[in-house]
Amino acid sequence: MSQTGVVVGLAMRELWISFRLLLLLTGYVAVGAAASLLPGSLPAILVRLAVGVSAAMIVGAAIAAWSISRDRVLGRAGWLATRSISRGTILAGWFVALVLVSVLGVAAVGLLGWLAASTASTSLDPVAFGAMFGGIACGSLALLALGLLFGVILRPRAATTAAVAASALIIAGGWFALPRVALPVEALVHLSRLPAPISVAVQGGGASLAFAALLVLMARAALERADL
Amino acid sequence: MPATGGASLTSSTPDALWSAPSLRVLRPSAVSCTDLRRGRALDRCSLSVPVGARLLVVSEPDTTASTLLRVLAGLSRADRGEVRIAGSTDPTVTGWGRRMAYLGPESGLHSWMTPLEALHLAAGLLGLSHDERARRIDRALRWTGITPAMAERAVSRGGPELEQRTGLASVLIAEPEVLLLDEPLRAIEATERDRLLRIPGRRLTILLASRDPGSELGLVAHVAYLRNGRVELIAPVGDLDQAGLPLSHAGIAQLAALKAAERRLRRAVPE
Repeated sequence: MSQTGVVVGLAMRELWISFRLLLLLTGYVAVGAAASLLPGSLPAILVRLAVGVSAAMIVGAAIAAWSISRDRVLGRAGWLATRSISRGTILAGWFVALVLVSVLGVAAVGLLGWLAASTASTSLDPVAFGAMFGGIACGSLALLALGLLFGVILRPRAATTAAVAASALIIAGGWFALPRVALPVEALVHLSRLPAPISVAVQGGGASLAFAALLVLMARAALERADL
Repeated sequence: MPATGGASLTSSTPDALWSAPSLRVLRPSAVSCTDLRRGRALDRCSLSVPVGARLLVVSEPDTTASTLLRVLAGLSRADRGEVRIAGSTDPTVTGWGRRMAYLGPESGLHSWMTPLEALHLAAGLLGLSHDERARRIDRALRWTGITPAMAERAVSRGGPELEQRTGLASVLIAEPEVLLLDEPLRAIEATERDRLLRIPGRRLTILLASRDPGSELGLVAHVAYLRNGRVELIAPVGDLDQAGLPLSHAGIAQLAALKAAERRLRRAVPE
């Protein structure tokens, strides 16, 4: 198994045993379940989905920050580093593990959300809906990377607090303060009214991926200087 | 691990060459650092430790010795300076990555791991063959006194003692040439700790950072004293006996002061 595979495996098992994996997955699934089980019109369902997914993404950022920071503080990252696993590989391993869980969660909430939305309205385009959730998945990657960046710099509690605050600020700021920039979660609310929803989803997803890449690079640079 | 454990330590230098009289005279450096700086902890710290030395590192303040070992292990970054281990400045697998091992006060193991899992993981990362892996795991378990029943139990269920034994076993499995021990095995009873840390191997170089030097009696042959981020003294432990000083923080500090006074005197009164 590759070194990244080893770190992904360890991270997955750590997430599973500490219930963080369940917390993240349950967060996403609960959002989807709430959207599909509670009665409402299509706009109401989409708002519920968008707000719920945003909250789950913030939880993801918090888990990312806590996980890598705790790994550093408890010397687990150091244990790997002294066995010739590079710091970049440790970061990549955690990122991949968290991405796998988050993408699974977003897929689950997307499926449940589609079941609810398609029942409320038959005019909703399934491709546009899927593309929007693809964009949301990319957004979740960006917040995971943000969480990792804080986790690399700060101690667990401070990193978690900072990740929650920054993620909430980014989502709220993008949603309310920048009316011309559509975050994927914000675009989801307006999905039925958007003239070119797929285009908006792709733009939002692309911007999120670029932001995620930048944050991962910053986290990588910070981890190179951090104490393990 | 049997008492002959050190004889099979991996090295790019053949055994016959290590035994050559010329090398015994030269005493090549296993660990050396030059002008290391890190915040206020290390200030132009330079040190050279020959192959096979067992060096106790004591410092004022206490944390400096740990910082030095962490910098040498690559866990903390130096602001400046050069670290050379086993003749290489390259910390990757192709350099000294697999020739040095570090054991700190925290084992760094996941609490859900069993000792066997941890050792298999450590051996797997070394890329050992199946037979070699089994041989080294068996030796490490025997040396650290981890019974088969304990080896199947999560380290969190075995308490800090099992965790620290497993930490040591996972270090020994690499059969390193340089072993950096930072306040190791404090959860283990003194006599047993003493036995565990008497790791055999003529070519094995050990740097041991300790805040309680008295507890390391018999484990080390030399002592280094760091003050204000610099090495003030490197001397055989026997020098303490000769000066009538105990192997304690105060005793080592006094010896450093005595040696410094001798140096000043020699400079003031040239022969």
